[in-house]
Amino acid sequence: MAEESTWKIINGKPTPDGVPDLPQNLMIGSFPDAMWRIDGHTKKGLPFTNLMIECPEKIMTKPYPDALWRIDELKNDVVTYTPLLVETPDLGAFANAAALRRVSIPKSVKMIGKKAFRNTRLRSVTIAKDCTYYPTSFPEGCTVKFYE
Amino acid sequence: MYTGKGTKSDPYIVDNWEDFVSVAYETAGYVKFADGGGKIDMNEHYPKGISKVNINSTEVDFNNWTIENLYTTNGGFSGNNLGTLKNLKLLNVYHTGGYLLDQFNLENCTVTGIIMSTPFYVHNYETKSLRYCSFNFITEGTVSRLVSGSDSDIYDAAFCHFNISNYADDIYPFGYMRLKNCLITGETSQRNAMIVSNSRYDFCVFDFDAPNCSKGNCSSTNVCIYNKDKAPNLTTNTNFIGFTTEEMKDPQKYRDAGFPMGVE
Repeated sequence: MAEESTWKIINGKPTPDGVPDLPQNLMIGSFPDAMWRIDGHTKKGLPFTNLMIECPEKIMTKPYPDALWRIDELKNDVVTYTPLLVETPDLGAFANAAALRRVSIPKSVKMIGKKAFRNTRLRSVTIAKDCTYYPTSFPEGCTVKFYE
Repeated sequence: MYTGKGTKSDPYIVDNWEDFVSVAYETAGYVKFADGGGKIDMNEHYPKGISKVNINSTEVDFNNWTIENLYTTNGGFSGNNLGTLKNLKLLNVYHTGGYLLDQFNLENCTVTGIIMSTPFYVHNYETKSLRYCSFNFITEGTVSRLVSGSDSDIYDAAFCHFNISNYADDIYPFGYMRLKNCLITGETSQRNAMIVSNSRYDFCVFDFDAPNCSKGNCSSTNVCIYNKDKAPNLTTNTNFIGFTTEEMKDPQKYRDAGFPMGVE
């Protein structure tokens, strides 16, 4: 024989006797990790689940590896290079004359080659105002002066 | 020198690159990096790059170590189709050829870097299954099947975040994959880019800035959401529903669309 039950109206809804109260909170505790949610902060407000690990925002945090080609305005005459390339010896009229400390360049000289005095010990030179030269014509730190 | 017996309960313990490569190549056992974390700068070990590192281990637990500045000339880590890499932070990768992480399962891994195309349409990245991983890539040139199974096998990716930016040529990020519960973000301006491409998608979210992207060959059993302000031409099958940028942040919109969004 079927067990009889008595119905009552509770909070405006018909409810049989013996039914436990309905929990008021749909979710107790935290979400299952797999469930999608949006919290307005994580993932820039986009949906996420707790099972996704954080995606680093920065793709690159350090300079290029040595083997990678690069262009640097201050290196290799702005020609593409990698730091692993063996440096080509400078070619120029007096290049690599390691003992050369002083030089006299007449006013009549109107052009000085790209690496004419590279890798010398010159600290100062004087040239004509209309003489064409390159930043690489003289060793680094060499002061270029001009005839009056 | 490494310690341990290579079993699951007593794995080989390594704490440097040389021991890792040696033991991972020679054995099929379990390998684990030492507790406490650490960092290996590949630019110090191989400034000219590596062509391929063969890993025959059943499992390598990187134990949250970071490997950075890996420069690949013809492949990165290559597995035996059975192994698993887990808890790896592979950062600042410059991948220029071959497969980056080939024939592995990946768990709880983070990978960032630049993926360059090769003269051929190759799988730049091939794995078996991915769980709980995040990827942040810039791709250069035409990159086809960035994350891909093989022609005959469908591989799974679940609970992963892919952020992919491409500025040079076309991109087809996925191939022969089944993506479930994944977030796909990024940007591309290319006309033929196919963000949704050649894979199956279930419960995925696309917030991809791709104004010119077109639909790829794909299918989905369960609803996926995409940002129709960012990718207005991404017209796909009926299980892809377009939201505006504002709607992308509204949980109720997802629920209304049948997407399994939690109720606050």
